[in-house]
This record gives sequence, structure tokens and C-alpha cells, in this order.
Amino acid sequence: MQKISPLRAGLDAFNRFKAQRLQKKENAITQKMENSNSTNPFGISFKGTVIQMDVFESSKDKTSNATNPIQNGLDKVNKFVASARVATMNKIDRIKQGAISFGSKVKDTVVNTYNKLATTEVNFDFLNNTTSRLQKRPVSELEEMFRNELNAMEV
Amino acid sequence: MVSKKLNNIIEALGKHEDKDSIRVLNEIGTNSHLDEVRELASRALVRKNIKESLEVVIKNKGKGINDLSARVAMSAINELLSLKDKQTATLVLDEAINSDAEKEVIDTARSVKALMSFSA
Repeated sequence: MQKISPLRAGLDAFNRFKAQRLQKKENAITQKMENSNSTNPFGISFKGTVIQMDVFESSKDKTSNATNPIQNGLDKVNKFVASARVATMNKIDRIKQGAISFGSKVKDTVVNTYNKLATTEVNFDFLNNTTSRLQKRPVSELEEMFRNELNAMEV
Repeated sequence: MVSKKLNNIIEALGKHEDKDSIRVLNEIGTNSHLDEVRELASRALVRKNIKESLEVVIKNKGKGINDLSARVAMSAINELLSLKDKQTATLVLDEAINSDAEKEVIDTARSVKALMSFSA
């Protein structure tokens, strides 16, 4: 049986711990990458952001482009156009959503106002019961109104 | 609380040219069990400022200036004192003082007449 010094044993234990920790870290990164790529292959959220033109990679072979500067330039223009197109689409979507919500708000307000008007009864009795108008009525009529009002107060 | 409509009816009766309005104000208004209605009716009768209407609020016990409610009585007295033309009111008060009515009615009429002479 080999005799191990306490110092040596401590160093071995530290090395094992270090290797395990490194392994765990690598596993975690790999898992994270897999998870993010499963739903969003780029790992980037496009909502409300302008996507830079570098994101749009050409599917063509890159080695041939390196030799042709015109083709390279055309590719750059294509990327730029694609970037602008996505940015414009995002903007249009936002404007569209705003317009839709504004329209629905206006619709709700109009419907509510219409419902209120439909359920409101407009009474113009107060115009007929002004002193000047009542004064022109016969006393018998006023007497009856007087009695009715007093009876209504007692109920 | 008296409604706006009832207030307007009493006011309209007070301004009405038909003398039958005095009867309505006397029968329904000054006989009401509601202080507020009696007060409004008394004031309307005083504002008419004619002998028949003033007699109702000056010569009758329990009505107008003789009302059991101090508020109603004071309101009627105040309305009498506010009249621009107090001639008819003074005449009716004199009649009440010189009549053989109850002592309370005569005393009240005398007091109101004294107040009127001070305020004139």
C-alpha cells in the first residue's frame, strides 16, 4: 500500500474538485445553448428592435465571395435591404397595433354613449312648471296640482 | 323639503290675478301641517298686498303672523315689513287692533304695526 502525505492528498482533492467544477460549468453552458436554440435559433429577440444587417447571413458559399468584390458588395446591399425591411415591418406592426387599440377604444366609447342615451329619459317638465307658465293656468288647475304635490310629499 | 315644483305653484298662486287663488292659498297652504308650506303660503298672501289676502295672515288665529310656529310667524312679519306699499297692510292691522278678535291676535297686530312704524 502506497503511503500518501497529507499535503499530496489535499492537492489531489483540490484538483479533482477543480475538474468537476469545470465539467459542470461546461455542461451548463451546453444545455443553455441547446435550450435557447430550440425556440430561437439566433438567441435574439427581434421585438421592437432594429436588426443589424450583419445578422442576415447569405446561404451561399463564403469562399467564392471572398474572391469577388462585386458579389460581396451586392451581398452587403442585400443584407442592408433585409435589415431595413424587418425594421419597417416591426414599425408597421406597432403602428397597426396602436391604430387597432385606438379604434377599439373609440368604438367602446361610442357604444357606451349610445347605451347611455338609449337609457336616459329626457324630461322637460321643469320647463312647464316655471312660475311664469303656472301663473297663466287657471286657479282650479293649480289647486289640483297643489293638492297632488302635497299628497306626494306625504307618501 | 318642499319641491321646486310646489314652491313654483305657491309662488304662481301668489302672483295670480284671480282672487280665487287667495282661497286656495288659505285653504290648502295656511292649513298645511308642514311649516314650510304654511310659510310659503303666508309670504305669497302678504306679497299679493290686497285687503283679502292680508286679512288671512293678520286677522286669523294660527295663520300668518299668528302662526304657532315662530319661524312661520316671523317670516310673515318680515314679509309685511318688506312691503313697499304698506298702506293696505296698516289698514288691515288697524282693523285687527280695533276688532273684537282674540287678545292674542290684537296684541300681535299691535306689535307688528309698531314694527312697521319703526321701519317706515
